[in-house]
Amino acid sequence: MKIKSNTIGFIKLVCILLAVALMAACSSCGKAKAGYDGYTAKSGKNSAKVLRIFGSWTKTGIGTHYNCGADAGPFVIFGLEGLAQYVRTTDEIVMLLAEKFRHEGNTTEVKLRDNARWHDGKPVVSMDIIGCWYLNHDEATSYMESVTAVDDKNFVIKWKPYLNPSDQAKTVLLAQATKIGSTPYHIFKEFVDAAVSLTNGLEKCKETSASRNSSFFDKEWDGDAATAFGDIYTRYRAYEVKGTFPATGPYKLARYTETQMILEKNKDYYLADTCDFERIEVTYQPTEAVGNQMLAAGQIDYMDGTPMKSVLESILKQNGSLVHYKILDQGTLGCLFNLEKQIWASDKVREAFEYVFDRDLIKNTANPYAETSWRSMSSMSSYEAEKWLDPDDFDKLKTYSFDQTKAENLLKEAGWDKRGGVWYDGDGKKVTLILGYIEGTPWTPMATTVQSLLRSFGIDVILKSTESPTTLLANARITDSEYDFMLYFTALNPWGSHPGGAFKHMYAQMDAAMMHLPVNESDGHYSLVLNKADGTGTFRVWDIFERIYTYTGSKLREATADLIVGFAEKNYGVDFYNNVTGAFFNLDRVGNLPLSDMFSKDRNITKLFYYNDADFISVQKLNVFYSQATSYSTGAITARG
Amino acid sequence: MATSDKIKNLFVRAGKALVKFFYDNRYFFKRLGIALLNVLFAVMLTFLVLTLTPTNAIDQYAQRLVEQRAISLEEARKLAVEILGYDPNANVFKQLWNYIGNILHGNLGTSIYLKDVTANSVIKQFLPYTLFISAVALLVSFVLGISMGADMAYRKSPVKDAFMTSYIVTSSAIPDYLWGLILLYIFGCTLKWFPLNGARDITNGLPAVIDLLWHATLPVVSMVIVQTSSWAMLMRGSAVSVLGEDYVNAARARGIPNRIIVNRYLRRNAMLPLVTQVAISFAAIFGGSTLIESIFSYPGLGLQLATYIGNRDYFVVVGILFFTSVIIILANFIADSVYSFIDPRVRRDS
Repeated sequence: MKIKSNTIGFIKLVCILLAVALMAACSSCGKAKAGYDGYTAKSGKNSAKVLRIFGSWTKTGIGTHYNCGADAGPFVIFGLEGLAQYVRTTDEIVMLLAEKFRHEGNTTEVKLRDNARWHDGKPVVSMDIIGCWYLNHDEATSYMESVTAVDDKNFVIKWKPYLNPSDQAKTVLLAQATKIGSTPYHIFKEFVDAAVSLTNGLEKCKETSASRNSSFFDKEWDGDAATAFGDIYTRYRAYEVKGTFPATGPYKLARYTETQMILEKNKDYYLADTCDFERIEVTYQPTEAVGNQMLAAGQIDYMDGTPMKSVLESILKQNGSLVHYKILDQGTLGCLFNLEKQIWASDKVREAFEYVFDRDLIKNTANPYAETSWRSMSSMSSYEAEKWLDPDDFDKLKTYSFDQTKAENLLKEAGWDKRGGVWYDGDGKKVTLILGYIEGTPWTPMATTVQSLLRSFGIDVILKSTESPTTLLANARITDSEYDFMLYFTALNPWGSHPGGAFKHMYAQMDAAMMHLPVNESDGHYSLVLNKADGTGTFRVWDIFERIYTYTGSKLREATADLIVGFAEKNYGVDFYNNVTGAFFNLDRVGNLPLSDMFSKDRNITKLFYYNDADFISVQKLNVFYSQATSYSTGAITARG
Repeated sequence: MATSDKIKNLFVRAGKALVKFFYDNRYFFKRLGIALLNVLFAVMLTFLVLTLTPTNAIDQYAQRLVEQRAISLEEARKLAVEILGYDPNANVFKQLWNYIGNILHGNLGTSIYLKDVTANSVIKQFLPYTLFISAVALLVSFVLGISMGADMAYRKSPVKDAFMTSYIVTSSAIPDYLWGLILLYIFGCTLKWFPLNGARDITNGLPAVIDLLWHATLPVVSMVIVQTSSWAMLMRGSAVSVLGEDYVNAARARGIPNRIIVNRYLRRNAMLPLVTQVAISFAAIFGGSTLIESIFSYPGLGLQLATYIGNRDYFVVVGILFFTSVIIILANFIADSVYSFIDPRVRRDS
């Protein structure tokens, strides 16, 4: 019986300890002040110059080089880089491995930095970049005809003469290759030579070829060529690099375990003088709840994103050293209609759905810091459309309102009937819709609000959640998908400062496929025809989309207006709100952050900065997914010692 | 007798001995056959179910290429097929056949898009962490649970009974991952006594064993809180039935002290039905506790399994599931066999 008495005693002791701990935990809540004092006047607490962040990687999958399929998370962001880095949503381009680009006609001369070196100490040379392109085809290579080395530090890109991008687009395309410094020629010579030889030996793409505009290096990539390339790539991918992981960026991979990664500053980096943090300690990305707890506990110095309002306020309340910035995102969240479904064939029905939703309510539920959009889906965020369109054209984008009476009238005009508070379609069938969405914030609260709004309007909605965008896309794009409509980005441009990015998301990557836009059987391209913005006729979307990077000046504005205004008229989807993301920083440990006058009063900075605002770029650069490592390597963000 | 007859007799006797051996151990061989069939069904079911899910590794990899290279989805899909050398439209049964062939060569499955990663390497890398926290949790909860269960069955103290019943109801009503979050908030976030995630910290300079124990404390405690109540309930049920047995009443009548009755008569006999349960629970921990490991970012097999399922990396997923299935089937088989030796009635009835 003694053992049992001890057991009971132990349990009692544990309970008492738990109660004491709980009281201690509760009593420590909610003490932090709204503002932060002395950011510029006093010193911080990070004399060791260590940045602590979250990241995710697979220990068994780090691999020995980036293109082996490495899953190296934060090291990819801080260790690998391109010729230049665009800062998402801004016009800012930070020159990295390239010192300068000189565009002339359909050529671009690239001059590499003399002092750019690989982490193993070897200099970065032209063939490193050229080889990477020939092995890793990207969007830029589908506009290129060839790339040739002039010498070790200079090379020339020749663009397809019939698809020559504008100078602005060329820079964006080159900056999009954010990890081009990943294939040193001194290590991968065998594969680079094979890929260059294979490509140069292929026939030039035929003028009649349907894939001419997207063919890599303007070559005819038939089945045999693709197989031969696949063989080279498989060997390249499987190649094991001995020694240092090939990279050129500001931080080197020092050590890593399953849940920790240490990145040490690259002392030989060409921007080492401005790169302030000596070390980056990365903790494996925990669940959202635990991540928030770690942030609140002061164990993390930077975290991106904007959580739910209550969570955000709770985090700031728990830790008086944290600040949260709101960052404009060139993305809009809303619902997309699956045009394969008969219900959306009627213009009136589609228009009625523009009036059904209380979009303020949806926005406030999902992300109250964002800006409600009262427009129909246009394939470009209103933030961005305002930037690229002439004011007259922007005003042509119709705004809607929350007006269910108007919606009812439109549905009745379409032959629908409401009986006993429930809607029946033209065939007398009760209307029930299936909504596909991604599980998690902000999609789940958005889905439940949409369901509730439509149910109160008389339309039943069945929710179908998926785990990721990839699964949503896979479920939506199949023929006879069960989804009637989906929640997703109705517009998104993460690709640098050019309207082409938004259209790429729309027509080449996600939305059009999910919506089942009509496809031309002969060439496999979308056959959608829209009205021109100036009302002078119609145009085929694909013809303009494919050439959007080649347009300049007023032609680019006109083409952008046609694609946006023409699409918005169709009411193929509903915009809910223009997105806002964000970033947390620990002010005790991170220095040189903007808006100190604001966070001295309130650490929850709710002001959103737009393109023409003075602090726009400095705020946008705070998010590591917008600027990669450049904010740290150029000294825009420093340690607060 | 001629030599040939001697040899013939030897073979006949050996044959008879063999038949007798199989007949005498028919229970064992029957169980072995069932176990092997279970393994076969387990691998087939997991493989088929996973390949029938709507997305695949090509979709996942294509999405990655879209983000990395800014190319169109269609181009990315074509490239993904070329790069990974995997055709998701290939015949499922052919894929299954190839997979079984690999298993017979000791390869449980190779990752579709992480070079050099196999189910074997993932298991080797992450299983020790899972076994460490889960086995400690199982051991501690089992010891605490049987003590509580026996005590509740034998002692009739209303206060203690109410207290323990409340504990059991509360702890089993709240899942272990929620306990994990509560403990994290109190002891990790607020009091900062324990780390919030991971299995070790390469920057804190602590000795490896201390560091491992320190990191394992909260995940283990959150599992123990819930598991203890299950063992206590099982033990109480078992102990109550033993208390009604004649030999316990006889012991009481002989005036044997309570301590001896509880320890020698009650606890030992009541624990017998729990043996199978312990074996199965031990086997089940090989699969890892996905939610607990996720909450604490504890690098166990459960967390890895969730990650590879998310990536639709079928062959690694099936390899891990196959491994855990085999362990569970093996544990069942051993428990059944051991039980049949402990209690011959089981063998006879079978």
